[in-house]
Amino acid sequence: MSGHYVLLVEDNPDDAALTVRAFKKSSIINELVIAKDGEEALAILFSGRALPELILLDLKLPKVDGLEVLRRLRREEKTRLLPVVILTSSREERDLMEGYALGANSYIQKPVDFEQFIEACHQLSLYWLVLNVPPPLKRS
Amino acid sequence: MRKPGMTLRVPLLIAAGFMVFAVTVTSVLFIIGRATISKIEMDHLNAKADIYVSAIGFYLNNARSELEVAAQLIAPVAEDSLETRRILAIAVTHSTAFEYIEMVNLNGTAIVIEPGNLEGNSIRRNRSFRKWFQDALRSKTPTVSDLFISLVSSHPTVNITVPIVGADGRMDGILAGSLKLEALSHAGSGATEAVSTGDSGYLTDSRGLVLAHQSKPQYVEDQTDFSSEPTVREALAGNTGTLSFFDPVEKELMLGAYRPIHLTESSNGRAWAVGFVIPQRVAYRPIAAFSRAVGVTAGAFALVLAYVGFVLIRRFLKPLDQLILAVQRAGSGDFSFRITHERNDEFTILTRSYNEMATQLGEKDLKLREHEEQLRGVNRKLEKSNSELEAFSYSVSHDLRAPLRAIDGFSHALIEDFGPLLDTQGQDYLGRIRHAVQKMGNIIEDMLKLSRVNKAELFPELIDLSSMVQRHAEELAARDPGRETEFVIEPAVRVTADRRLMEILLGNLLENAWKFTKIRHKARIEFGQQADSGAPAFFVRDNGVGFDMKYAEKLFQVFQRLHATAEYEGTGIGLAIVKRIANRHGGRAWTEAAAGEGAVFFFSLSGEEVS
Repeated sequence: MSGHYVLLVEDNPDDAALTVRAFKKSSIINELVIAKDGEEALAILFSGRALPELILLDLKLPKVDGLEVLRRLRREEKTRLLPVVILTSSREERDLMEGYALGANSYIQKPVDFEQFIEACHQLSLYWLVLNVPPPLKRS
Repeated sequence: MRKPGMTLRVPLLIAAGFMVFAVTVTSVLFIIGRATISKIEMDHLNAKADIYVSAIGFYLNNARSELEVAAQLIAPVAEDSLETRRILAIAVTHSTAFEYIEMVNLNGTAIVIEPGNLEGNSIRRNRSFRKWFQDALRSKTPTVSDLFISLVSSHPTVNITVPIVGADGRMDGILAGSLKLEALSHAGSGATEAVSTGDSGYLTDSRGLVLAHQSKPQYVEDQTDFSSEPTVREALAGNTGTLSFFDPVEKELMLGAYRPIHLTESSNGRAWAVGFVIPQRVAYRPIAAFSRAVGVTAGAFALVLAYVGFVLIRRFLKPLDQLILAVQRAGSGDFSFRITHERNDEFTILTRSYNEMATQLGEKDLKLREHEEQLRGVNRKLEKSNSELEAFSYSVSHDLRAPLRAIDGFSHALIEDFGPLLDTQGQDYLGRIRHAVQKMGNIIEDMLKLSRVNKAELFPELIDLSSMVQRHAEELAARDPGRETEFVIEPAVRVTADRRLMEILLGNLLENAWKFTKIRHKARIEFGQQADSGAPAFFVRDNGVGFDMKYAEKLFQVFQRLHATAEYEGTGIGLAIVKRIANRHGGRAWTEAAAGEGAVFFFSLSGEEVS
């Protein structure tokens, strides 16, 4: 049942491809499932399939945006405690404040420099997937 | 509305002034009137007292004559004989003056009392210790006694005595007649009563005991003592005159006339007193009534005066009320109010001037409002386009980063995965692509910073710029350990400003200084403050490459660079950010430099946000 996968919510295929590459480079073995917008992400999360270990969430998304996805996740008992890392180009105070207020666990700005980006992906997966002890999830 | 100060005060003052005048006039009238009445009244009293004295004198003389006649008739008998009784009975019956007549022998024993029915037990009692008897015995002439209680009637009375002289010229006895005192009270009343009411005459004996009193006859029966009356005292001292005095018996102020009545030539100046008095209350009643009438009239007149004054002044001040109302309205921005004034006086000019002024002010106000409205419109447009611009630059900056990341990422992937397939030139090109991408990333980052500085809310607090500079200096030195740079930092430079923005401002200036001193073998960067016409100016000075002052202004504009990118990398936004931060604190940023000799960058902060 355990997913052992990471859900990447990212509408930009370039960014998605680069993130996949960065994760490969940083030798993370977890599967990376990609949702192209908020609606798709919610569909995956509430489909009944196993929940991901970590969600990497972009904010600017078509249909349902990232903050809305986060809001709905936090409202549901099942997904209330899922680790969510916001991964976005924005460093606007407004977005930061709202993200944390809605219960994001972490907030990372995507660097332009790809080497820095690889480093960031490496750090966050190491932290969230290896070091961090997640809350015990209820299996229903 | 205006306080009704003047409208009330002026008529009240007029009324009060009139009242004072009226009271003064009334008082003067009262005093003069009283003096006149007093004089007239005294004349009356004198006249009445004279009449009273004459009447009493006549009455006493008459009584004595009757008694003398009787004495002569009984002298040959002079004993208790039928003849004696008959003579005395006729005398008592025919006289109005006597209550009874008694014949007393020289031992003081009463022999006969007529009318005989009064004889009773009293006939046996001895009169020798009585003063009237002793006086009669001693003087051997007719006498009039003072008041005493009769042994016969047990009432207060006065005796008139005459000696009974025999043919041999010796005194055989005394004939004493007891006077009816109530008759004394009415003596002369026919002449005195009608003249005026409220006055009253009285008579006292030589000790001051009341013998007769016209208005209060009971004083006689009560043997009231009038010796403390000033009139009686004066009269008994032998004086004649008039007096205004306080009556100790009646307990009120009186006007009075007084006279002595000399009883007999032989009584050695012994006299009775006659007084004629009237209470001042009664005497002055007409003048008091007059004064009261004057006072009431004056009071009523003062009220009418006050009311008329009030009405007149209100009418007079009505334009002033309107003016005040108009000015108050104008003060609150309503220029439409006009004053109407029908009369033709000084107020006409005032109201006309005011109305003209109000018209002009109204027009100006209207124009001002129009301008304000236009200005607001322009401002709204400006704000809108500003926020549109901000939104635009924000989204452009964001949206530009994604393709940049893609270019950089895939270039990186290309080098990593297909590097061996490319020759050196191909790899060099890819390297250039990645370098350009990073530079563009930096520019976008700085533009976002600039827009954040514009938008950020200020949270002023007290901060220590010196320690902030110190921290930045340490970071810079740590980043580039090979360089030899001397930092000179003035200690304890404190300001009230937004901490985050000051961090960015100092960071940018120090970064600049660091960058442009890299060619120096011994670089030197200074921080401090100096007085700039009152407000302190802070500076960062370096001994770097400097620049030509011709371009000083351009430095603070976005994307203006004075140095080739290859020599000194940078986005050209840093100083624009410094200027924005200084401006937002109400200060400014400026510079002094010379090419090749270093530069000084100044900034000031007023502590308040201006932009």
